[in-house]
Amino acid sequence: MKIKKAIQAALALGLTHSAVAGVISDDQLNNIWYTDAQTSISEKQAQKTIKNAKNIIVFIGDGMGISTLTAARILDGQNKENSGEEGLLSFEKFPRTALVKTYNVDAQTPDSAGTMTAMMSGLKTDMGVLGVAEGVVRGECESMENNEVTTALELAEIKGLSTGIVTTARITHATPAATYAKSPERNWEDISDMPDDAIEYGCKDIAAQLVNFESNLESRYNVEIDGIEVVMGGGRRHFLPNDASANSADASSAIEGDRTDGENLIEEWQSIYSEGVYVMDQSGFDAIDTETTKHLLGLFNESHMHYEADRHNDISGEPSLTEMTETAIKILDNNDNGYFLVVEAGRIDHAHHAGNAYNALMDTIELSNAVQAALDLTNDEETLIIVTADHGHVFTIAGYPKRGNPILGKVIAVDETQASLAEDGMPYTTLGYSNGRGFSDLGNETDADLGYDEAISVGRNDLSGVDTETSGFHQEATVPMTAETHSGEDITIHANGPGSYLVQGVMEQSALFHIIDKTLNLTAE
Amino acid sequence: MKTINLNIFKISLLALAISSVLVGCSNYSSSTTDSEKNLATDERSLSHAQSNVWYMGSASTITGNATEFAKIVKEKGLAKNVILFIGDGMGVSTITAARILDGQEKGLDGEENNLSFDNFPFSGLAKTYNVNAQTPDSAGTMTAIMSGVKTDVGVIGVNENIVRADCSTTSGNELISALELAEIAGLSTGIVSTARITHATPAATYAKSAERNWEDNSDMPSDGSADECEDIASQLVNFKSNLEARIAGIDIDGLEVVMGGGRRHFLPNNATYNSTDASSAIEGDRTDGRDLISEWTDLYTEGTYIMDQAGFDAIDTETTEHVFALFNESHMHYEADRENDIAGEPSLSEMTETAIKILDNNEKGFFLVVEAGRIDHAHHAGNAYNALHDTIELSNAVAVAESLTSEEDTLIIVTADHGHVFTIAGYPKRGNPILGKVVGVGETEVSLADDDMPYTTLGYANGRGFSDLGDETDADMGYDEEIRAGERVDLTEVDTESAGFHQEALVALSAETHSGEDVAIYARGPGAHLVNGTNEQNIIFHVMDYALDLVTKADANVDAL
Repeated sequence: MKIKKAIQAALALGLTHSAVAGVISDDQLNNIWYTDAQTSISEKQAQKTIKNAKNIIVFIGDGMGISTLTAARILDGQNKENSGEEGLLSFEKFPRTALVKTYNVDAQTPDSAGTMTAMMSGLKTDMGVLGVAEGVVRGECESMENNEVTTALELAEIKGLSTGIVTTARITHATPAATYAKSPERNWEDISDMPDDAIEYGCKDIAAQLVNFESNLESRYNVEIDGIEVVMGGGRRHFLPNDASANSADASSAIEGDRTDGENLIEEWQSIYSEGVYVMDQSGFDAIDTETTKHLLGLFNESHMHYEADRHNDISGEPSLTEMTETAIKILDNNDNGYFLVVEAGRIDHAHHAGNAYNALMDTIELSNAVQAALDLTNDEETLIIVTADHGHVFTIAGYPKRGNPILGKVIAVDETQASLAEDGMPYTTLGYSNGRGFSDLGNETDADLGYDEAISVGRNDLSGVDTETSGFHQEATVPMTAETHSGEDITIHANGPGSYLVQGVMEQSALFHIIDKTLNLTAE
Repeated sequence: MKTINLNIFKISLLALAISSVLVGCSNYSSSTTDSEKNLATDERSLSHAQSNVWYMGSASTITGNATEFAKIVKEKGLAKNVILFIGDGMGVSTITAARILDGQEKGLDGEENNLSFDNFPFSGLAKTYNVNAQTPDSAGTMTAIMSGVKTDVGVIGVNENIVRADCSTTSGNELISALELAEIAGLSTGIVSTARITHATPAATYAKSAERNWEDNSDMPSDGSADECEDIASQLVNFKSNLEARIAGIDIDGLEVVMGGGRRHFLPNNATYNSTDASSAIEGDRTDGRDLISEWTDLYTEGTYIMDQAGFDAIDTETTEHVFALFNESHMHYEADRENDIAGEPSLSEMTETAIKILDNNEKGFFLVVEAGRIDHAHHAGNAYNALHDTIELSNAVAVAESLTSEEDTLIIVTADHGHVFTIAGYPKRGNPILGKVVGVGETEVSLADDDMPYTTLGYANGRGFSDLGDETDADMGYDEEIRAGERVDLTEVDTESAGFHQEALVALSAETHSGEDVAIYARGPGAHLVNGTNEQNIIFHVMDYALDLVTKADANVDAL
């Protein structure tokens, strides 16, 4: 007769159930790593599956590849006095993830215009073009015909949802523009950026398309809509005439506006939305009444908004991504039909291009904070939150730093206290870039873009006396380029709430639109 | 369902490459719409989209995902078999680059291609760090995957209370592995690797060691401090009796399938023991005089020991109960270099196929671990060519496993232990050779960096840097070259697509390093739905436990003392 060891042990201890003295030792069963993982399995089993959402918020970390996520997670933890590796950014706690293939139809390593068009319109297209299919020829206005595509934001607007766009980049920059504009050239942010023949042929600059969004969409589809409720970001220069008299109090150039057609699109917006609120600084932002405001245009900077770590240097003050996200949601959720909001952390990408990991990671952490704010203001039974990137960067986390080693620091190996030395006898940083402008040490400078004022300096430098953890340190790089490049490897989608169950496996980037579509029933059948 | 949909998508993409783009059709059928506000009722609406292969392809992906999700049965123990594939060092950038290379070798642009496991319905992310290391090694990571517990860098099958290389700290800190649980549960078990079978990743399935480098007794301290510890090769051969001694009340039959390299750790340091496949004057490393291969054949008298392709080809998978195969003195060859093996050796796909055919003779099921061990080695040598080709071979092996098993009863997991500092730079045009130099969109000439020299799409942040070994297919020959990192090389006349090209690097190191970012986990079959989200790496053990109800089954097979 067989009596199981576990049962026998349970009897011996006077217990009525097993789970003691089995094959696995108690040491292993009670190990915190073991029990945490068991808890995680249970949580996965308990996940709800809700198919339809009232609201969707899509967060884009521009250039936020997987290495950026890991490094930002570690920095966030270390800023909170932890080792760092064990933590999770807010959205890394989301139950569902997928990997995303980012290439554009004509480009192995993509750009934001093609990738965001894929996410917003459900089809891949060429690099550098906005809201148009691959049949377009980049830069050729006449090739637009029959290639314009519809975006999720437009469909949401037509369906009667409130809509919003928030970014730290210029609101006319590729990622936000792909939500509302159709252009064969991402750089046509205002009319001064366009060739004469394109203007004559009838193409409109991106800023003009934003302000005329409502009438353009109404005439395109013969529908009645109420326009985008929330627009916040930078890029005032594309809305103002090239005339100093139109400068705002926040202007950083002698003449703030770039427009050569004399138009003041901010005034146009105010005349279209006579009950709307236009703001351009922190005090204006703080005065917004989110319960009564129906339309909001916030243009907080002449060009891009500041890096989060550099925000205190804004002339008249500007809100954080988290603050903008909160205000956007509070305005949008006044609509009982629901809302569709796109939030971009646009400057993760810019910091990487400048070869400055500090700002890329700090802006990623701020994105994490903004997502947390969104979680706090919404209900995961009716709001789908998606966090993703458009593409990665050639940004690496090298071996072999010990646990808890400062992520912005030099590599110190396990059990060591001194920096590891490379074969050239010099220390090296954990973080690095394959290409770009390379090393510069700008001390406590918090604006990554000042790196462009330095000479390109790739290759190795003796970092022994350099504090690589300062905000102004720009990492070393191998291949000299005017700006560090995007990368081509897959990026991730993280999802929580209704419809998140559709986020699975490996997907083409255009699948994101279809998740939004299916979850909000935008195109019905 | 999802696989079928993706196949349709692939066919569509092929069509895309050879035909004009189908946009702008004005006569959209409104038969699928009914809402007044629905755009589809307007003929200027989504017509372009409905005839666009990208649109329809990704729409069907999401339909497939919904179908896949509906199939999930939340019940423990639905799997009969588990196959765990580890691509050692196979980070996300490696997978993307290998996918593109695989596609290009099939005549496609490449980017639209999918590796076999890219088509798996579920994926998740794994945080790879070891308890004491931000950027991990294979010993700590594979211990986490196999035992459900994170531990220190460099140690095998023991928890973090160990002191690395201190034998005396081993006792009491041993962890049981999923392979051991499967063995106790009565499943057939197997380990296949292209690395030495005593190397960190395979070792973490069966061994307990304070030091990953104790592959044979000659690797251990000779001062008596490690006398109480057993080298890893010896632990493999004594796996059955060791486990029976450790867990009272079990009666197991030992590992059914063991295939890989590493013969040197099993043979005495005496030329008379050399096999015909020996590459050194004295093949064996052991200084204790033991011939572990003979010991194994004595323990498994009906088992089959093989060491070359001919022996492999002669295996009868229906009658063989135990197979022990050591195909190389050290690691097996890179897939692209396999033809240079002296006595011939099988591919990872072939080994996987044979392993499954032997293991599936057990009605209770099986647990198999397959490692593509040399992706990591090629990266360490700074040679993307071999890293990507070995990744493609892993994809082939996974496809073989899919075809030999049913998703109804077999959980297949594909993952990596860690990544490498390996990057895919901007901005090559679509279809640009992934091993080539960057040629921009709309261009036919290479892009030049600010130093007026071309640059490759693929690169490493550190390592030995540039070398051009022409058609050499052994990445390890790069270690014979001088380190040349930290400076640029004029690649104008260099064929960077050749097997022997080693990519440029910045920080000069004797070997390129692992990286610290998350790796991916791909899964299909019962329990695969648990592979989702961002996880600590040790969750993989728990997914496998869930799928097989492994701990319960193992506990049930323990007899009374």
